[in-house]
Amino acid sequence: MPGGMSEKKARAPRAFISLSILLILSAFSLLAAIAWGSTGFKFREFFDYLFHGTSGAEVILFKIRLPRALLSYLVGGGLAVAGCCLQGVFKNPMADSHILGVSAGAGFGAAACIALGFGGAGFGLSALGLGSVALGALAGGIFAVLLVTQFARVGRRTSASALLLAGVAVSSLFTALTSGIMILHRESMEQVVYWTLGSFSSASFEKVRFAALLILPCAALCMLFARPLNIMLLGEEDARMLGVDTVRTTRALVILTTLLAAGCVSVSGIVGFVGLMLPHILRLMTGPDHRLLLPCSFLGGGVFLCLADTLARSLFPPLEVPVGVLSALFGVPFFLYLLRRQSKGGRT
Amino acid sequence: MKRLTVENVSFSYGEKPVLSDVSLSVAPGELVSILGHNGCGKTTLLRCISGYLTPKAGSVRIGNDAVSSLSARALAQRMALVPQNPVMEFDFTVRDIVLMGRNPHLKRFSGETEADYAAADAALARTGMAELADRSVLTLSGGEWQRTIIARAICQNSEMMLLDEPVASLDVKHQIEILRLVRSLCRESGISALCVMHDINLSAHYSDQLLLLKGGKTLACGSPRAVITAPLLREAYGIEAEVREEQGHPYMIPRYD
Repeated sequence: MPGGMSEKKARAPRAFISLSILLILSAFSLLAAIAWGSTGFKFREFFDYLFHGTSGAEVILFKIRLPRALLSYLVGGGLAVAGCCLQGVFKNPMADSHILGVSAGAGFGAAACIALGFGGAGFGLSALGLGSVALGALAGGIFAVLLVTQFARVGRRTSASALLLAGVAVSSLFTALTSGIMILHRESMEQVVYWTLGSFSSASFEKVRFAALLILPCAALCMLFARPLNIMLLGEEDARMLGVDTVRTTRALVILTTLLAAGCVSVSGIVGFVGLMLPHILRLMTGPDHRLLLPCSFLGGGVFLCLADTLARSLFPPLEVPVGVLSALFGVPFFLYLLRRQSKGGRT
Repeated sequence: MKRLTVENVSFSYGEKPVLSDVSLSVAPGELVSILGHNGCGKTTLLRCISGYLTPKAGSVRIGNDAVSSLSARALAQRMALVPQNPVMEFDFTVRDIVLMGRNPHLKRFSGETEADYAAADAALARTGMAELADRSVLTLSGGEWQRTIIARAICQNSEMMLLDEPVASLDVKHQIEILRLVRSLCRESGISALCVMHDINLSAHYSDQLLLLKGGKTLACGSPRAVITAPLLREAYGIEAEVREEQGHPYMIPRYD
């Protein structure tokens, strides 16, 4: 019994330290994203504005940079939580929201809308604060996962490996269709390519509201599955005998992560790396327990993408580097370094 | 009342029958082993009992309840599994894994209480793993990992324990340790255990009852003395063997050449 007490308390500092660091970084990254930019605003002017209300920076700071900072933070957090959950469900370190076809489906939906001429302002539909391209992406992403789950179902059961294979197949199909659209409709090629590279340049408060209403509840619901996710790392048969209804848990998490990823992709285009590698990086800090790892993934993903987007728009002004390119350029070497350090650390 | 009742269970993968008409019952506190050649359906039978597979015919009951009628959670409160090759690739501590045994007793979204930690500590002590409680499971030897999984099953506090070849990958010292532990759980805590086994002599020594399968059918079922006989071994495994008495139990020596 005293062992139990001390163990429970010994766990707390790790959680406290990890969460504190990430919360401080979150505040820093959001401030930096608002204060730092290519139009010449520096931290000092930002603070001048904050404390003295001087300078005409209001429009740029609060109409342009604030929604962009918030949107990139939300998308980063959402993608990281989705990736983390799917890695747990599939026990596969390569899992990501791509794996169920969300990105490919969303890409196809967006490309179709662009090619059909809904891309320009004033054309097409808009709802939920989203333009028609974003709506097309949202619908395409969700539709792709519906296809995947239909094909992967065998009787009442949906096995993880069947989902993975169906995901790869359906993704290839939609990627091919997207390429087809680009070839048949060359005028839209550039716009489609830019969309698939990801960008927050069209951020608005409408998009932030949509993203917050979708991403925050879905991410919170994912976190309620932390303990079953831990147990499912032992495999399906074992988890079931520990009282986890693996079929229902998998289904719930597939639905939640699809909504998360499709929501993220619809407002930002396809941003790679975050969902795949951020959970791995954070796992090295927090350990594998999803009860800590999932909240940390949200915060860490938000910090990472917010900073990456800030760099993306301020490195080579007035040119904007696609944020997906930048996040991979910085993230991948860091990830490989951590991986190498860890494998040297005497693991069996 | 019997704790586990298996009645006329049949199972097939597609057209190929794997189990036909197997029956078995396990009393409270009893240790029963399932023996038979490779591919005779031992693990399939265990999976039909655990509800992982649904029998094509027949029934499996724990107490008075059909296993198929229980939710995963309700079943896990009464039946624990020690799987054949448990795998964990993430660096949880031994205690983390043992605490997972409390899952079926916890409310869906609530955390572990002091009582759960106490149950885990008791299970760790019982399996001799208390010293290693805070070690990462990635650093354990095969025997330590197996004891961790058994500690988890103990921590689950269920009346029935299924073990799929619990000693197959262990050296002889650890084989004896694990089987002594399982037997003492049955004798002292009244748990019933059902083991799939390969080693005939270990099974004969530690089990109260043996079920000998051949090609998915029951060849013999009863006390070790009734089941471990030269004619039955010849039929079950196709080997010639001499059966003696060792330490109060039948002991078979196969003819090698």
